[in-house]
Amino acid sequence: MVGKPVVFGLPLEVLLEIFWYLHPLDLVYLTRVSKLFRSFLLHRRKAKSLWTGALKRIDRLPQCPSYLSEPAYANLLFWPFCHRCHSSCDVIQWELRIRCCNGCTSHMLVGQEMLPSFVNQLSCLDVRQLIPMSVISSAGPCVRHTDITNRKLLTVASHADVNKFNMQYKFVKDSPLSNDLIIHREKATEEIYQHVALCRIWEAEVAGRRRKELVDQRKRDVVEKLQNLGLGDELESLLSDASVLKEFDNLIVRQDQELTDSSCQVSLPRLQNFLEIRRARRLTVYLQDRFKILAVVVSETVKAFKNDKTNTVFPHAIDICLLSEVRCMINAPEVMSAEAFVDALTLRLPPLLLAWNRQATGQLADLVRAQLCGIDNAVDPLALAALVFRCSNCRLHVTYPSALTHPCLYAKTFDKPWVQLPMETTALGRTMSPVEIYEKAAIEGFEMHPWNCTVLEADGYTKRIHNLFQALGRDPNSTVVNDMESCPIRVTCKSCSGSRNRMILTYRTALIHLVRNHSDGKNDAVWGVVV
Amino acid sequence: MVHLVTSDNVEFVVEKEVVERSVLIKNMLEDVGESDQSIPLANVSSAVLRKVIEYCEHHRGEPLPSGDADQNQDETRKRTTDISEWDQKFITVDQEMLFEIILAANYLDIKSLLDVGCKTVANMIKGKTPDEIRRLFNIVNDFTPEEEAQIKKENEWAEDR
Repeated sequence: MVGKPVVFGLPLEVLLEIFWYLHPLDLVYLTRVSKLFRSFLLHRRKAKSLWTGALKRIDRLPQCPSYLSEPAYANLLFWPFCHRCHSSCDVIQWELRIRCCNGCTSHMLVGQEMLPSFVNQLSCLDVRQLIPMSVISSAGPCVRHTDITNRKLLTVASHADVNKFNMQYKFVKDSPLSNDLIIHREKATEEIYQHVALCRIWEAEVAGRRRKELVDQRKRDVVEKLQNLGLGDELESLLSDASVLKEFDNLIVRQDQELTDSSCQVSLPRLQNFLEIRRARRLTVYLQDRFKILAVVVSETVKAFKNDKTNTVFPHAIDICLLSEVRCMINAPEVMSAEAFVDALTLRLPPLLLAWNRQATGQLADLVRAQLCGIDNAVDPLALAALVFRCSNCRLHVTYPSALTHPCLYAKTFDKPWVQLPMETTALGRTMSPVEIYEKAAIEGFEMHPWNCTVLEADGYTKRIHNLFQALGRDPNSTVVNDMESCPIRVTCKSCSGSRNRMILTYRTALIHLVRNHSDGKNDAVWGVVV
Repeated sequence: MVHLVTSDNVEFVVEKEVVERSVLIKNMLEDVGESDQSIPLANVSSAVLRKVIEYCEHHRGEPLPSGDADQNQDETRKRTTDISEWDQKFITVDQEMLFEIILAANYLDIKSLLDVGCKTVANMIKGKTPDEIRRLFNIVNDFTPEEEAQIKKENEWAEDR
């Protein structure tokens, strides 16, 4: 056996105290819970102040009009269902005091042209002054006016109002009371229209507040997600830039809807991209500022070095800025002051310059060894007498050590690790790493690419040089420059010598003659040893 | 010290300052004067009184709401169902105990405790449909299906129907 619910054991004054805290819709629902609650809550004398209080606590809500009871007003305002079929219905037909879904239109509404004939015969007044009428879309009463595009508008009354007026008119027609009825109807309808105007203002305010809440919530959700993506610092920096903040807000508030998973998939990459581009720009400005300082320090240090060590090849500022040690100095979590940076760099630069030189020379030697097979392991590849580079970029020949400073080594090549990402068109979802930003800022700032020896080809003239060395009686894979400088053998190019004159060439001038006059597409030289 | 005897015959000895949060007991003490005699609380069980004393001890020294001020602030007071963290934790009890505390607070006239109890019940009701409210309080639906359909259409004062 089910006992009496405990809540029914509460004294009336305590129940009233509890109900005082409730929203009007909660009271509407309570009237439908049980007969006991219903009889109490719909008892005008006992419960009117409760309903009035609950409605009063709704911010800026117009007072309950005289033509509606408080429970009926609460039901109209907050119970979001069709008054006939109880299906979901968000739109209130304020003039008609009902909610009507699209499916119940014909049951609840009457078009102006379908009004009883006597209404139109009362031609002294506009029919809208006798029966409250509303304008709806031909698509249905649940389509809001704001959503109507290219739709016909219909003027409608409620069946209930028309039936009531019909009945009233039948009683008084052909009697002097008919005039009184018209005056009464006119007054009542005017009161409805006046109250409707206030309700529409309130409704717009509520919608505005709701929109703002949604936007704020959406913003909070987006910010949380972006923070999880590691963009929290960038969001913080937005606060100081009103114009960018507005741009960011526009990206978020384009829709006043909750941030669902699907909308997140659309919006988030766009916002992420926006912040990453901004971060890249901000970082680039900072980096290029540091690079300017670095260029000055490098230039001064190199100048001092050049006076002492004339044979050393020095890097450009871009090569120094890309060294890992210098990157660490510039990217340090605690930003150094410009003065501290200059001091630190000046201190570290001499060993860095020498280290770079060693590294560059080593890279070139590796390139030679990789391209020329059969080089004696005991021999420094860069010291080979037979070494002549051809630049794959400008097609000119260069020898060592001038090859180290060949201009094409600072030109853009496509097999380099430096990634090119045009910031404005960075693809959605493509994250530009700090390393990429750094390298791009360096290339843009110094207007050149870093030193890269892969444009040089050491094997461009291999076969023809070997022929020359064969004529000289030396092994091109092991003979070094110093050996040849002291070699007394001279050669002549038979292909270019005439019957009257012949060129007597040292090995070096022979090499130059070969690359100038017998390069690709031309006949090979025929060498003769001059005794 | 004040001696209180509950409906299940358990005696509690409570400091006067604590127990005087109950307007009923405060008035009794004022009427009778200092006495070692126990005050019988026929409507309050020992389990409930223990909770009530816990509440009064926690809130000892706080100003008691005066009747007039309360009436003036009624509108403002009713606007919020916010409950302080301690009170929230204190009132997290089963439904039977919750209603017992409310009844005790009403009987002993402890306004602030009654408020906490009423706000808690109101919060339980808020946002629930009739079905959910019935389930919450174990209420039987005494409307016939026809009546149920009808009541959704009728939202008028009983006197006007």
